[in-house]
Amino acid sequence: MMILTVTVKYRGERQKLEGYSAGKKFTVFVLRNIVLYFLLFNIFLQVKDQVDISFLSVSFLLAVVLALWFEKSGLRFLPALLVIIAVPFIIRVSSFLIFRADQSISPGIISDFLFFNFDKDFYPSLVPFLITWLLNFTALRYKSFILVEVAVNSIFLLLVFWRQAHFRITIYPHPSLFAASVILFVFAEIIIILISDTGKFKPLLSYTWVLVPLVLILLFFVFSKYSEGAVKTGGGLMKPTLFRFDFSNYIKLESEIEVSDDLVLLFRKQGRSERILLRRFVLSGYSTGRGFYRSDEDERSSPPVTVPDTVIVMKDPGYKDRTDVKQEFFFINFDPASLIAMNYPVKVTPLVNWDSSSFLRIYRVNSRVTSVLAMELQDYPGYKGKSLKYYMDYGNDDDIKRLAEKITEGKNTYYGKVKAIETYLKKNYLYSLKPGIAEDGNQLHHFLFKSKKGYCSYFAFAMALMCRSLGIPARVAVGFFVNPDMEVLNFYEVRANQAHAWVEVNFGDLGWIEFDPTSDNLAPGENLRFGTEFDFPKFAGLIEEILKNQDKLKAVQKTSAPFKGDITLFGKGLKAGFEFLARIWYLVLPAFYLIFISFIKLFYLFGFFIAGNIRAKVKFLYRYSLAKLYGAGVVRKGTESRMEYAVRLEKMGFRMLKLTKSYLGSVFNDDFSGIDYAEALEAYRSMRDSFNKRYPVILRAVIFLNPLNSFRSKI
Amino acid sequence: MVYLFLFLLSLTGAESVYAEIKSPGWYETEARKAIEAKNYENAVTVLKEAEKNYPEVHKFNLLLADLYYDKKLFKLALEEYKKAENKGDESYYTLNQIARTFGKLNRDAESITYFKKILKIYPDSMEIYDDLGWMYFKSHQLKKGEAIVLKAMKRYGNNRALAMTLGTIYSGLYNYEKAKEYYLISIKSALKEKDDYFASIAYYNLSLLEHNFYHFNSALKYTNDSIRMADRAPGHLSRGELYQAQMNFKGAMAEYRAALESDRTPLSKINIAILYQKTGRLDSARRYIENVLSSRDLSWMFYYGTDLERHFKDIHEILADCYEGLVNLELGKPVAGIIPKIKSIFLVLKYRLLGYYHRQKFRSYSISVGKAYLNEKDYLDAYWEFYKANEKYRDIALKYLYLARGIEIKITPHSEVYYLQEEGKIKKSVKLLNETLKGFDGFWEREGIVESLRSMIPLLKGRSNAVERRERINRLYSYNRGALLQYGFGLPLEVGFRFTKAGAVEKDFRSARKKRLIIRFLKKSGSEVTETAGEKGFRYRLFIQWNDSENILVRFIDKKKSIVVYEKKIKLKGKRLKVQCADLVNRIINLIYKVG
Repeated sequence: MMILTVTVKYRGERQKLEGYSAGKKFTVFVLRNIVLYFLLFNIFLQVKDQVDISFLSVSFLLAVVLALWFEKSGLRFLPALLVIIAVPFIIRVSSFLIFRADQSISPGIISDFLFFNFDKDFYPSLVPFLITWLLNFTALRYKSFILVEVAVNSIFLLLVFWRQAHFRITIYPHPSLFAASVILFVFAEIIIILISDTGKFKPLLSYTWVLVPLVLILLFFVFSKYSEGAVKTGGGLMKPTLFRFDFSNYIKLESEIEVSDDLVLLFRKQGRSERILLRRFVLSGYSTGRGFYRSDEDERSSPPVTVPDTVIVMKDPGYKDRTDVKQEFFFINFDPASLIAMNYPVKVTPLVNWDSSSFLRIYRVNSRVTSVLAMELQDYPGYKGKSLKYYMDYGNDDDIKRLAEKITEGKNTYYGKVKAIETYLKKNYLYSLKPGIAEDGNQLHHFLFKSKKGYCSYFAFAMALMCRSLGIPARVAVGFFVNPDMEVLNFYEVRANQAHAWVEVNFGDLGWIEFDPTSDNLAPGENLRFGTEFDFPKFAGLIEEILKNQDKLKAVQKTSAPFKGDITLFGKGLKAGFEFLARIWYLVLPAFYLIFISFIKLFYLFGFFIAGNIRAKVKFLYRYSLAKLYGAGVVRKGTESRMEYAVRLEKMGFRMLKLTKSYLGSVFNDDFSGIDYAEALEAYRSMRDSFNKRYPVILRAVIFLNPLNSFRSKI
Repeated sequence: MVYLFLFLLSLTGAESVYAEIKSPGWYETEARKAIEAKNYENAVTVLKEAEKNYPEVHKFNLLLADLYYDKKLFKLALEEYKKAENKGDESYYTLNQIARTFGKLNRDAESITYFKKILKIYPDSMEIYDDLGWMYFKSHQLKKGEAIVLKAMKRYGNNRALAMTLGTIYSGLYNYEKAKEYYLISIKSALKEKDDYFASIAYYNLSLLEHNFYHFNSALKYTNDSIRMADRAPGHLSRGELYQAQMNFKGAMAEYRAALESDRTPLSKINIAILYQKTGRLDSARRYIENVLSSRDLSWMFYYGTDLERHFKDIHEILADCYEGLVNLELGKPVAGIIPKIKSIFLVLKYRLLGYYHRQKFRSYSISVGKAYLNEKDYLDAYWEFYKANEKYRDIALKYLYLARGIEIKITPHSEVYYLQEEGKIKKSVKLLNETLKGFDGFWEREGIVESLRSMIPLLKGRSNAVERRERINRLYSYNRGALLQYGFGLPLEVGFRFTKAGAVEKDFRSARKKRLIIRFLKKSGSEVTETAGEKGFRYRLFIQWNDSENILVRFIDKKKSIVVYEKKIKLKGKRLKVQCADLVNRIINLIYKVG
């Protein structure tokens, strides 16, 4: 469009230009309002049971029309503002007069309730009405305001989704829709900036370009709020993957966490159950600063952590006294790739999901679960070898060692020591989501020696390190605990606040045995609501869905079906693709920016290659060279002619004069020949060399990524 | 040879297929064994396989349906029961289960249809008459309920279950005499048969009836009888409500907590939330009621004659009251420093929006509930709901209030005082509200008195009403100290100060600033403050001794009774004087009103 503008201008067809400007103005106006309505609609989605969308839409339209009218009539800002504040009240008063008249003509419930029904929608519509008017009127009156509006809209977008920043977007039926909406929003804003006429504040155009990456950065901020807030609000141990939960592969001790009660998955296990621990990761690596983390050793020695595409049978380590337990997992709001299982999984069978399923992923696991009795553990003589030395690193913390020795004083057996530590923590410490801040920064010491209250990670850390300090191989495990009382027909619901950490201790050929040192006693003032959120009808609905589709729960076959043009298959693929993209947003968004900027910057080069005639080729080369210079901040001044600009560039060391002459020749010379074209090519190479000489590779890369001034080269 | 081989092979194959089909008895035994062992997946698989192999046998559907019903999976249970019915099973058990399952799913109309169907096939079933009568009551079809139960009583005599259902229907029809008569019949019969549990329920229902008709002493007596017969949650709830009406908050809370222990419904939580809201502990109230709102197990309604809309209406009303109260608490809170002020403004905005949201939800539900009552020709309740929905619109509100009053005072003349109170609130008339104070029972209806007082106080403006206003606030405080700040006013306080530093009297300019700040914050909290002793209406005196150690002694004195109500030593937070004063007044507020 800009190219068109330039061409039109050169031909001197002012009338046409004006016509084009009017069209452009109209496009900007429409686009701006589409963006505004998009934001408004997103707000509506969050309060849809309270406000009627038609009422909201009418008030939006009214605000737009009034803004246009006031602008056309040349009303000043303050009087216009006063009128716009008065308008809703005039509408309300006149509506009420009409309602009253209606009441006297046809008395009855319907006419009586008109007042309430009107107010129900009227008040919530007031704020969007005023904002819509304000943005429209100001943008129409002050051209440069459009650039501010872009920023304002970005902030609105953030606010709209801020309420949703509790791990997942719930106002959209699917995350891909959210991703698509945001992308469209950003595109619309870019187009608005590109084609808007910002008058004398033209230089601002460059700065507003910052807004586009800013939107992305701010979105990143929202998402990083997700990440940062994850530990604090997700159950203490989990991180979000944009829309789903998963566990973090490291645990740090926080001074305060919150727990979310989102339903994460359904779990099925036959028979009677006691407290069940579903393991996601084992964390064996330890360092004082980092806490427990998933190390290379874990990668090597523990079962896989992702659900396979087809049935896999893992090597059974052959631990003694284990029984087979079959489990099924139905993921609702959990990363579908994550594998959770009881300790120790030996076979994983991904199951076929049915159409329109409520579940992201279904799989079956066969585990070898310990059935060893405490009595038998008593007999274990203790670990003597060196191969598990890795699991004995306790950061050489003498205070912890001393405490461990004090607790286990008089305990002669391996199991006795482990049990003593577990019991000590359980009995002498309290459960709290607010363990408090350690003055010296050592949260674990603060827990063990001062506050004596903490959440599960504190207990697991303390026990694992105390065991390690006594030469007992121990590691931390993270996953979910399942309350056996919440069982319905062998199904258990698992919520985010059931995320848990516990300890696994090595008992030789009996394998890694679980110990849970977390106290059941709440610290005073704690107000936990575990289990109180049990939403039976929702749970029942999900169980009903599974039972109805029970017959379809078959193992996924490895052979991938060829594409047969089946629309549902295609749709599923598309959905899966979007889901995947949404999960790796941190790659997708920068990639998107890279593609976009490459498109802008390399557009002319591409044009050069595909152009059919030599005049066009020279024009594209010239513009491509300008784009480079503009990216470096060497911009043509408003009063400068192209030749003056070229002369200035020459003085700066950029050999641009020849290329400019060639370009002007290609535009104005009637007999522009192949020789002229060859000269233009030579001039371009000369310009390119001078440019490259001036800027090293890294700087050239920065210049390439710089969005500033990118479109000015078209003017 | 090959053909012979194939023939033999086919025979073996046929034999193996034959061997795989087990007998119906085998399936039944296996399913029962699996259920016993809690291996439900196996049980479901076995029963589904059985159904596949014996599609004409309905027994497997029934077993599966019972399993689902037992686990409260009513939708699945209904499907299986219906399958059994479609296979020709029209047994009493199956049809009754279908009707009951519809009821559990709050699909009252379908439940009624099935109960009627059962009566057609099994006309001698007294239990079904009773259930049908109850469903009519639950769906507000009281006249139909009355007719069907009367018909059954004619046939079966004074059966206690039927009598109790009829009593409840008459209670819904506001027919006090008949309701009481039938409740007493059911109680007499239960006592004769030594069915204490049943008698407990009947006594409870009777106590509700007495309470609804303002016979408080009888209500308490019957509630006590109900608990004596069986220690059930509803009895404690009923007794708690009676204590609450007397403003005996400790007694009420003890009863609600006792109910909570055994209550499978959210009713005790709702009552606790209401009590917290009334006593100004709005955060606790909010926590309880939000917990109720988040719980979606609503099958308990089957036995409680209520429905979703009425339930949510009540919840949103409590939440609206809480948030509106929190706005006033936040507005009156002494705040010092820019960040706390910004936080406070944000909180006020948040609470205001949430208060508005819940009030609107409450009003929307009131309209829906009112319309449902109107459909069932229950005009009294319909008009009352319409009144509540339109409280903001004076003329419309008054129209429905008068309509409701016209009906109710004919049934219970004492209800007039409550209508007067509502009229006073709508018309903002101190005169009408003053009248109600004479009409309420001074012991049993203190809750009503408190409501009138708190509605009247904001209307008593200006110097000419100052003394009356102070006296009304003092009276309100004596009933319920938590009912002041949440409505935007505080106690009139006569204040006295003593500022010392190192044992000596502090310099004037510093003490004057402290005094000024404290008085300003007290006024912000809604209190009228005076330093002049003996001014009329200032019953309470607040004495503050600010020692140089930054330890403050606060004494709160009831001058009328000449007693020290509270005395506390306070150590202040913060270094800035303004922050310290704000902290001090906050602590004083907590001491005097015990809200939060």
